[in-house]
Order: sequence, then C-alpha cells, then structure tokens
Amino acid sequence: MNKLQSHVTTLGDPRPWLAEAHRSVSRLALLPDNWDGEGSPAPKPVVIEEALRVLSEIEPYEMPMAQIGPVPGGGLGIEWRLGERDLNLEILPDGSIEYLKSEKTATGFDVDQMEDGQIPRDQLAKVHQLARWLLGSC
Amino acid sequence: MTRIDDETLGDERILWRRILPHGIINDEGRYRPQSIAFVDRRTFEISVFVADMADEDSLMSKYPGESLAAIPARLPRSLGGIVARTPENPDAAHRVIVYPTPSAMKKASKILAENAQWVRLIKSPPEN
Repeated sequence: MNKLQSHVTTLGDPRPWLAEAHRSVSRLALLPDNWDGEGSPAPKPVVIEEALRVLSEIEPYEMPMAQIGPVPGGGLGIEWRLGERDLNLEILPDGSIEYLKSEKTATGFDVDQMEDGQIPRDQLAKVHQLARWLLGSC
Repeated sequence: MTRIDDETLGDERILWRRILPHGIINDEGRYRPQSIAFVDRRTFEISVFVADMADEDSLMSKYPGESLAAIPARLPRSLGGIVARTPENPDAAHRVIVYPTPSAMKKASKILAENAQWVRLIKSPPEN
C-alpha cells in the first residue's frame, strides 16, 4: 500500500458522499499512464493529495454524491449537481485548483451566467463558499 | 500548431466524441457525459470525428469499453470554438475543437456535455 492509499483508507467514518468520493479518488490514484489511450499521464500525486484536501475541507457539508473523473493531462475533475446548480472543481496537473459554478435557467446552462476562477491553495475558504452556494445557503 | 476552422464543415454536421467510462455519470437513471469528457488539459484540443466521414464500428473497434457521443458542429462554434482539421492525423474524419482560452473550454464543456446525444453507450463501470 502506498502513502496515498494509506491516507485514503485510514480516514474515519465520513459522510456517505465523502466516503464514496474517497473511494473514487483512491481508484483514480491507481490509473496508469495513457489511461485514455491518447497518451495522458496518470493523475499525479500532488493532484490526488489536493483532491483529498479539498474534499476534507468540505466534510462538514451535506453534499450530494460527487462525480469524480480523470482529466487528460494528469488532473482530476469533481462535479456536484444539486437541483439546477452545478459545481465543478478541477485539480490541475500542477495541483492548482479551479472552479466553475453553473446554474440552469429555463433554456439550460448559459456560459454568460457561469462563473469560474482559481482557488489559491492557501485559501481553501473559497471552497466553503462554493459548497454553501451549491447547497443554496448563500 | 496553429489551427483554423474548417469552413467546409457545415454547422449541421455531426461530430462524434469518444467518452471513456470515467466520463459517464448516472444521474438518477439518466446517463450523461461528465463535462470533463470535453476537456483536455494536455493538448487543449478536443478530439472528435465527423460522423458522416467515419464508420462507427471501425472507429470504436479499438475502444470496446468506450461510448460515443454526438454534438453538432454548430455547438462548439457558438461557444467561441473552432472545429479544425488535423493534417498530422491520417484519418480524414478527425477534427479537433479548439477554444481561445482554457476558461472558454471549461465553460463550453458543460454545454457540450449537457447537449450531447449518445450514439453508443456502454454502461459498464470503469476498471479503475
């Protein structure tokens, strides 16, 4: 068992969404290089570590189940949908974090209504704000 | 490599995008592509195939566990993207969608994923 797997499996009794998210990240940590058949590198250790850190940061919230997948280039994408709101976090290959907030209107998603940006790694308070937005409490 | 929009490709033409098992969401019984299925942080080019120039079975024979989704060329173009030929690729049906910025790619991915239609849907979970 490597260091990352150990980190994933020794967590306590998290919320169901968080336990499932940890399992997903744990599985994705095992992806090989060229997982997409197009030459993409596997998610890098710094990406796995940041994904786990972000998830732990929002552990207090009753989030819906997260959809987590690899992004060509070595990153990970985390997506939550609740009602008409979508929140996407992307851990880029260098470990930096970006977000995308989207809210469906009567005509569907509209790029002009979306908000995206970066989350500095030392300012994860932004993640709390995004979680509260998704849950409709701000 | 500088890419230019393939103006011979009409907006109504259909583009196919391979969707890996990791890129599929079961959303309360409705399967849809995850938006990251339309993002590429390695090349910043989204690989697609012109449907009426490709053979589905031949294309997917190399990727038996993968799904195939369709979008009209109009859609990425309406979001600021171009649909460009790839002279370096011997497959004449191959194109790439390219956006002016990574932010545009990310926002467009949400729209593309939401509007994509399944051509071939493999519901098996990813191996990893």
